[in-house]
Amino acid sequence: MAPFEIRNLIRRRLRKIKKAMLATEFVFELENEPESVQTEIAKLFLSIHRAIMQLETKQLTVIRDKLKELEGDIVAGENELKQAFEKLDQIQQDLARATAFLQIVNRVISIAA
Amino acid sequence: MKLKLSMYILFFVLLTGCGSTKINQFAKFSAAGFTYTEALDELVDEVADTAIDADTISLVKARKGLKTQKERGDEIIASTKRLKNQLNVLGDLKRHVFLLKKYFLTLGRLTESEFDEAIANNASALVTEIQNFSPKLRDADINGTNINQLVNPLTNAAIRKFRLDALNEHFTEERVKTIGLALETHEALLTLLAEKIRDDQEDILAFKETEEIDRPFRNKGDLPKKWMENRKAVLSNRISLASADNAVEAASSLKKAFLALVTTNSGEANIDDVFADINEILDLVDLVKSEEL
Repeated sequence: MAPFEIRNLIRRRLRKIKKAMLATEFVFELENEPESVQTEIAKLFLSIHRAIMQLETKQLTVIRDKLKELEGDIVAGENELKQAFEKLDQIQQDLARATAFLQIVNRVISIAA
Repeated sequence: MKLKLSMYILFFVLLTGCGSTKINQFAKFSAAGFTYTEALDELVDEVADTAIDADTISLVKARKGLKTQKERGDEIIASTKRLKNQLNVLGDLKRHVFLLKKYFLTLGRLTESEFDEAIANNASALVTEIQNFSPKLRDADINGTNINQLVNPLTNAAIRKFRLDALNEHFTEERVKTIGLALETHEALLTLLAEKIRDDQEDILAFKETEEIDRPFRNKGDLPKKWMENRKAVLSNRISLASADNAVEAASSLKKAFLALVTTNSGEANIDDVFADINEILDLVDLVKSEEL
């Protein structure tokens, strides 16, 4: 099993435990326990929460780094597409300029004639 | 000779006409990609918001276990650091989503035909001006059709070919691999984000259920004013959260559509599926937004 999958598995199991510890039944039952047990459970809850946070952040970091590796090619691709698009824009402008120039030449010729 | 030339023209126009189907497919794909990144951007925002609330609730719950002032002081500093670290990574992911959004936007612009009419009109005007120089040119025809009448369809066909060539040149084997890999990584990202937002939201709701619904009911005395509405809201929202799993399909269907588009000649990419799955992401975002504390 890949490290990412192992983290997924552990995170999902910890989430289940955390969910059970947040349930009303558990909370109310715990209130009947001695202070020392309540403190111990609260510390355990915090440890589980910390572990989940760390696993999530690690998994998000792995994904971010993978995506970052691909960003260079995505940016290069975008620039390539932009250049093709700009070529079309350039063609349109060139045609408009050439037409305007020939219109003037035709007017000069007709006036001269 | 004249007949051959007109056949060539017809063949060229027909050939590039087929290309327009492919260009339309790319246009739909880029639109789906752009919408996907917009939805993902909103989801990341909401994941961050929910993570803060869920972390706060967990701290409140755990406070009982922190007996000394030093323990509480150390924990709040460490917790905030952990949370900021996670939020920073989410911020980096948002920047990546923005980059991808720009890519899809540019891809879409290349497939749009906003310049086609202007180019065709300018080309036609240019030919008219050239024809004004000589009556021979003005009367020139191919198979009885004046040259000027052929300029528009030919220019449109040439532009279509230019777009298609640009797209084919763009999607090299290497680039297909990159985009495919990016979308595959997005599947993992979306799965993680959907699970995280669902789990965090469930934690928040569980806390609310205990403290705002069950505890006041168990305790002596009158119930809070909006107790009944709150109970209904909490319980119905918990049921709706089960649908979060559907949202993870968006990246997967976008990848399938992309691969169908670049690896087959038919371009039979099912873009409608992508839009349906993107809607699931937005539904999830809306749902979590509506439940905010």
